Amino acid sequence: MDERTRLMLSALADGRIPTVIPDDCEYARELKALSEYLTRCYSFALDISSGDFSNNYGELKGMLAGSLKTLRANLRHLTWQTKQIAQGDLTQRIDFLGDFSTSFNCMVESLEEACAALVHLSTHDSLTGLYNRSYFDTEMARMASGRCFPTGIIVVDLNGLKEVNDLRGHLAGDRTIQQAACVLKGAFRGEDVVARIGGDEFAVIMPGAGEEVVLASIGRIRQQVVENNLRAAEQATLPLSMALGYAVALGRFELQRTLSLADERMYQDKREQKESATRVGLTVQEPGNSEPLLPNLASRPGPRTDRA
Amino acid sequence: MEPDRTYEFSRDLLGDLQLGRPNLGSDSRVEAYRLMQYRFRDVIEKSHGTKEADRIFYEAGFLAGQHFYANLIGPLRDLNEFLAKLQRLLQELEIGVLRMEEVDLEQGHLAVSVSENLDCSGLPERDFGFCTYDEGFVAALMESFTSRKFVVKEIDCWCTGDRTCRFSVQLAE
Repeated sequence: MDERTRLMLSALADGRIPTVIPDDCEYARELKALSEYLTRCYSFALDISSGDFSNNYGELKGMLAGSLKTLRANLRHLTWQTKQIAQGDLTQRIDFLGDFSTSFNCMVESLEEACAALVHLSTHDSLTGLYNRSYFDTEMARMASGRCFPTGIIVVDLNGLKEVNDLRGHLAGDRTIQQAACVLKGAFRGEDVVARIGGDEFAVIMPGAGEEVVLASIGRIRQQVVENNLRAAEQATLPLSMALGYAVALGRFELQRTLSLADERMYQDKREQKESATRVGLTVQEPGNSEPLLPNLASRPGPRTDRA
Repeated sequence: MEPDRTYEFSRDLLGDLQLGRPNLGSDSRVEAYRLMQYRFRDVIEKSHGTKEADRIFYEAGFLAGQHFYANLIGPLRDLNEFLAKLQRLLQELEIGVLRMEEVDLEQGHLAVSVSENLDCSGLPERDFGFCTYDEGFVAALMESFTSRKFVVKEIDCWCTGDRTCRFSVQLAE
């Protein structure tokens, strides 16, 4: 074999690409082709290592170039997945690139958990765990653009919370609000939106619920208030009292009016409860205390039942 | 005028596999699929030439893609949902591992790759791609999703030494 060819093959075997290949040496054409191929593959690998995917290298064939193309394809797919994640698509997972995939997927899962926690924080009331005002308003807007009618709305207001706060302190007031939330949670279906929309005010959206379903829920609230107050009497804790109002929307344009009507009826119920309590002199006293604390109105008749 | 036909493809031609193959089940080996596909291609190419064989395979892939979208994917509107569902289905049905490299529907361009491709992965190296059927399949999926025509071209193929098949998907209009 030509000594020059032998030396070039030896260099290639050591991983060096010959830069000058004399035309008159043995296998010059093949060596030039191999050298050019390796140089292109080297350039391709350098591009990949620097994150430059702009050059095509489409003309490069064979297993070496093919492996580089697969690596580039994986990295380009990873880039696409990362963009998707940046746009909020947290379903993306990597199933290639070994340990990197595991770490990357862990990172996305942590991000997903953090996002879920943030969404929960931004949509829930921290004291009660119920939905908050912001979520309630969003759901009202969503319902207004949907077709799930009739929709029932119930507004609930705690009676005597100010007195509890003034006489027993805000911690006792918070416990009363939590008790009320617990009662409301237990009285509704999973698809209902039970929200704390103010300090002592709650509202419930009941998609697809007509008057009958709404009244059944109000009945459950009253029953649970009675049961709660029986337990409260046994445990020497404060009883609950609520004013309730409801209305039913038959179409999307009635929703806001329905909420206002339910609110008005809640206040009407509150007034009637006060008048009734004054009339019969029926009040609840804190155990061991002669001061009236909350009017005991849990078993009074329900609010008006006509529609919005 | 369309020539006389014995039958047109319809979903019921996939058959009731539970009834028909109670013991062997719905799966078969990739070799059986490839044996049939490449013998078909062999005969068609011999009778009609390479160009016509490619056209027939593209068209067959296109019809398969339309059927696939109509019966297993669509109708969908959201691009991400479409891609995620397609990716999941291709993997579940063991057709291939789809990966998106570039997706710009506004500019009408996508670059996708399919690894472990049912049609070609593992075939001997040649200096031409094998996946004209897949080109038609992808074109039909995109057309079904967007209601716009796409031209799909295989850029890299297992058979040209690449370890993954890569397709350029370009809006035709």
